[in-house]
Amino acid sequence: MCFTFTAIAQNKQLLYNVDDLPQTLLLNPGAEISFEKHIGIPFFSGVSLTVGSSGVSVYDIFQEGGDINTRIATAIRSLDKKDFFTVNQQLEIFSFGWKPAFKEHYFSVGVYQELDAIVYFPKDLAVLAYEGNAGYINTPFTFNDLSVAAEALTVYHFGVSKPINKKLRLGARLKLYSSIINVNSTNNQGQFITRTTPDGPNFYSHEVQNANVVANTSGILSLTEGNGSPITAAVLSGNIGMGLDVGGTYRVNDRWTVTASVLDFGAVRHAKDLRNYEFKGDYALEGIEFEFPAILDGTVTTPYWQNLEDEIEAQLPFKDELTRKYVTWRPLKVNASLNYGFGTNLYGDCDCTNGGENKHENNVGIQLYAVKRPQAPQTAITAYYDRRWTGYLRSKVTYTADAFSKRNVGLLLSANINKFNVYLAADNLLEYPNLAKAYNASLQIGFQLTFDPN
Amino acid sequence: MKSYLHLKLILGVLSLIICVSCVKDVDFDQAEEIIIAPKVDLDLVFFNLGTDNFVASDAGIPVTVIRDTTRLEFLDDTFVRENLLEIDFVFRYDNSFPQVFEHRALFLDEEDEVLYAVTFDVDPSLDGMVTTTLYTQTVAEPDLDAIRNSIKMLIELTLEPNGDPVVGALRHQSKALYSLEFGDL
Repeated sequence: MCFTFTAIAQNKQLLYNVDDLPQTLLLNPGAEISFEKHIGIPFFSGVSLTVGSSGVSVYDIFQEGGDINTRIATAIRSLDKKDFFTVNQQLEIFSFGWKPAFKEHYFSVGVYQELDAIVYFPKDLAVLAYEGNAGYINTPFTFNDLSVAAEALTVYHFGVSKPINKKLRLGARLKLYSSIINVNSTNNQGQFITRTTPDGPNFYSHEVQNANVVANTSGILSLTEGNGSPITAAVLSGNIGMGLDVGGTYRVNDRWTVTASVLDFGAVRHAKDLRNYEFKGDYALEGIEFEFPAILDGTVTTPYWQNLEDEIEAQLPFKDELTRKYVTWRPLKVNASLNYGFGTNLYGDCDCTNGGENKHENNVGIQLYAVKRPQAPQTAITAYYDRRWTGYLRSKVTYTADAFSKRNVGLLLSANINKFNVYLAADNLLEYPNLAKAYNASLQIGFQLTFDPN
Repeated sequence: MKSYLHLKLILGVLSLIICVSCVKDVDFDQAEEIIIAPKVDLDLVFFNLGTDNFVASDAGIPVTVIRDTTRLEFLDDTFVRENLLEIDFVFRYDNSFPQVFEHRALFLDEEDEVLYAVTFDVDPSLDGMVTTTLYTQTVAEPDLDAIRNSIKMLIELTLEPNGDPVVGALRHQSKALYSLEFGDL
């Protein structure tokens, strides 16, 4: 089995398992929490932005000195079809949660807006556009590399978590997705090749083989044509979906805890404001065959070019007026962790009033993260040290394995001032002195009220 | 009081991140220097001719000149016109006629005015064997404008009688290598 660890958008390793932040419930609906009520400051309770490029940095291309064209050529050669560019942004519009009196349940409700985009590097098509076909005779350029998934959506969610027994806590979150904009072009197929044809009619045969390239969009047409409002679409568009998060926490013993969650098991059905593009078929071009019709008799010459255009259009049609409904699956995410707590138990060594729960001053552990992406799942592994300095201040330092930088260090600081909580999390900190060299950077910040049971 | 110190700590760390984070040692003005220079190799025209093309069926009199024309709409494309740097035409003939042919590829405008011509002789067959003639013509500035302003290509073949019977086959293949350059992205 082969694992690759890459910089991945949406991996909020710094917020996972942080039990005094309500955001941990969005990463694991069955997470342990240390508050009995929370109210997010509207629009400010959860702001996150992650930008990543798996194979090339801004510095790799735009560094001072040298020839930028040489660097671009080098980058195109070194990147492969698994490399990707990604952006993920989330904004909590509002959120609140509560534990009903005399119950162990915790309910949480909220709305957030999310933008998520991933564009794979279309290696073959990039080489074809950058260098042309001349140096690649008999080499196929595949369309399979062309893979784009981008969406902006509003998510309404309701979650509940409940301790099943003293060791196990489970939770689930139901989500309603309202898609604002969606662009999806994955599972493309086919190839273009220029073949030498020693026994053919001309030097080459330029062939498009088994082309099946489809791009689906929703929500764009009305915006570009000025017929729709993004705010209306953001509140509730006609492109609706449902999703589910589930998760749990299992206390192995006083010190060891295991957690796991599956997020965004759901899909969006796109039925309104649609525009699909399709390019399908096969075609082989060997040039124009001159027929030398009966000469000098005043007849009109054969319209070779028009015939050629008609033939291509018939065999390799490009359709750009389609309005087909389609379904997109949300990027399914999986989190898991193994935590070891040590040091002072902030609940006390024997506190019968809290059911024997532990709140260790120090926690170390390993987290795993995976997200299903169009080309292949992407995975990450994180080691962390989580420290409660006082009842008011908490920090978490993470090291996330990253195939490219090998030095993705992140830091979370969370402080409580009375009931007011503020947190700040950033990773790839070592790259901050020059972000141009970073392959991935993320920042999360939030302000909210949390109410401690004590 | 201690908790406010923590708030100051977080704000301090945020300020530190903002102050420390920067983008340096890069020059985005280099974007203006980006040049994409693909070379596109494409077939042009092909044909196969035989005795019937050069001998009038009724009287057996040799037809000495034949020609055919096609439009090449892509030459009129702004994308090509603005970014074309050079063209290498390659013409190939496999000839089993014992006669020499004069090949003329004429690039014409809408009024059929000849703007550019590629002319060469196609070697005759010797002893009935197929003779191959390969001819390459590179068109660069300042002649390139003639190609850019063309919209049609005419190929004219002139048989040069030499007293031998006009019997054989003539195969033609042609292609063009377009060197393009895109700047000012």
